[in-house]
Amino acid sequence: MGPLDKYILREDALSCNDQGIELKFQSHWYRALPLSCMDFNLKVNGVDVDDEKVEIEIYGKRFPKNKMLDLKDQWLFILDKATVHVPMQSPPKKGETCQIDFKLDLYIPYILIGPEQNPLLAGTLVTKKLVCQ
Amino acid sequence: MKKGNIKLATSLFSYAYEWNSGEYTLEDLIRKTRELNLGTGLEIIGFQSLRNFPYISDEQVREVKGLLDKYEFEFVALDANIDVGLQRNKPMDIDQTVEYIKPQITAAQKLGFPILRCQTTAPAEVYKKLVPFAEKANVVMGIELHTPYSVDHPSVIKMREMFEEVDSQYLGFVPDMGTCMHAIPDALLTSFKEAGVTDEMIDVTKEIWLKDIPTPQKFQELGPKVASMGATPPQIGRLNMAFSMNGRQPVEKWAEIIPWTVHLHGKFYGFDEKGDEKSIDYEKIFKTFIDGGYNGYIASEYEGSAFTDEFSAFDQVEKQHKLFHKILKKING
Repeated sequence: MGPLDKYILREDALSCNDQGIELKFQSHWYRALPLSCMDFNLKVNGVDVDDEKVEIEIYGKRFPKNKMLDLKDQWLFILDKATVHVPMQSPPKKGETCQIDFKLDLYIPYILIGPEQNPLLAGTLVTKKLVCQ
Repeated sequence: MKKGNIKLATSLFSYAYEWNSGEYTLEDLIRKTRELNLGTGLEIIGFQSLRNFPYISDEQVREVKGLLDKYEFEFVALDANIDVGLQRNKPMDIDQTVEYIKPQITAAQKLGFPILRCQTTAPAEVYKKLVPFAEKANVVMGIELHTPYSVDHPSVIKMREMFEEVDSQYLGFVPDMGTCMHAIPDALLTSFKEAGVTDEMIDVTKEIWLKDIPTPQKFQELGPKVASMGATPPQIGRLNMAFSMNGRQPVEKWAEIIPWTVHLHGKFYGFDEKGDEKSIDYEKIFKTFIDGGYNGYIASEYEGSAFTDEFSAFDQVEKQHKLFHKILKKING
C-alpha cells in the first residue's frame, strides 16, 4: 500500500513457545482503529494457518480471530502492537527462520466508497523471513 | 469587503511516517515544529496522537496543554474522525453518529481547541443535531471539504443549506487544498513510476483525471484500460490515488463559502528544485481567501506518508512554510 507498511512487522515480530507461534504487528494507517476495522490472513512457511484456532491479543485481552468484525470497542493505538496467537503441534524453535506472509486488511471507517458506501479497503501483503525470538 | 489575514500552522498529520516509526514522542514532534519555526498554530489528530481518544485522561489534557504552552503554539484545531463504518456490516445511523461525535467535541473542549475538524462522512442532519451540544462546549464543528467534496458537491450543497437555516457560529467549513488542484503532483507521479507504472499508463491516468466526470466513474474507466496495458491490481490502486486525492475544483469557487470558513488545510505533496508546488496554486488560494475576508489559519498537511518515504516530513513542511511566507510577503507587501 504505502510507506507505513514497513512498520507492520518489525524484525522481532515473531516468537515461539511450546504451544505455537506469536506474531506482533502494527497497523499501517496513520491513526488508531478498532479490531472491527481489521482482518488478516497468515501463512507460515507457505502454509495457511487455521483461522478457527487463531486468536488476536491487544492490551492483555485475547479474542478469536473470527470475532474481530464485532470488536468495535477494542481499539489498537497506532504506535502499539497486536499479537496473533497461532497454536501449532510442532512449532518452530527459537532461532529458526520462518517465511511469513501476512496480509493485513484495514477497512477505513470514515472513507466510504461505491454505491453500497462500503469502507475503503486498505490491504497490504507483507512477506518476510523472520527469526523466531 | 475588508481583506482577511492568513496565519500559518502545522498539522501533526504531516509527520505520520515519522510518528509511526515509534522513534518520536509527541513532545519531540512539537519541539521540532517550533525549532523549525513552522507557524504559530498547531493542529492535532485525536486518533493519531492521543491514546484512548476521545476518552482522554486529565493527565493527557495537562500534557497536551503543557506542550503547546511550552513551545508557544496556539491551539488551532483538533481533528475528529467520523467513523460511521466502524462495524462494516452495520453502518451507524444518524443518532449513533451524533453520539459518536459528542465525546470528540468534549475532547476538543477539554484540550482547549476552538475547532473540531469534522468530516463529510456524516450528513448535514447529524451536524444540525449537534449544534446545541457544540454551543455548550464552545467548540466549532469545522467540516472538512476534502476531495471529492467540492463546494458544489450535492452533500456540500445540503450542508450549506443547513448552515443557512441554522445560522450558528458553531458550524463551519475547513476547505482542504487537495480539492482544488490543477495537476497530478510530480511527487505522486514519481512514486507511481517507482511502483513500476509505465509512462503510457500515467498518460491515460492524466487524461481521465482531466475529465469532468464523478470520481467513481474515473476509477471504473481507468481500471480496465491500464489493466489491458499490463498494470497489476496494486499498480491500479496506486493510480487511483490520483483521483481520490487530487480534486479539480477551480480555486475561485472557494469564494462562495468563505463566510463559513473557519480553518484551512494546506495539503501538499512535494516541491520542485525551486521550492514550488506546481500542482496547487497557493498564491491564487491565498489571494482568494484574503480578498474574501477570511481571517484564520492554514495548517500544513503533508501527504507524503501515503506514497513516499524519500523525504523528511519536517523538511517538506519547512519548504511549504517558506513558500507561504514568500506568498504572504508578496500579497501584504
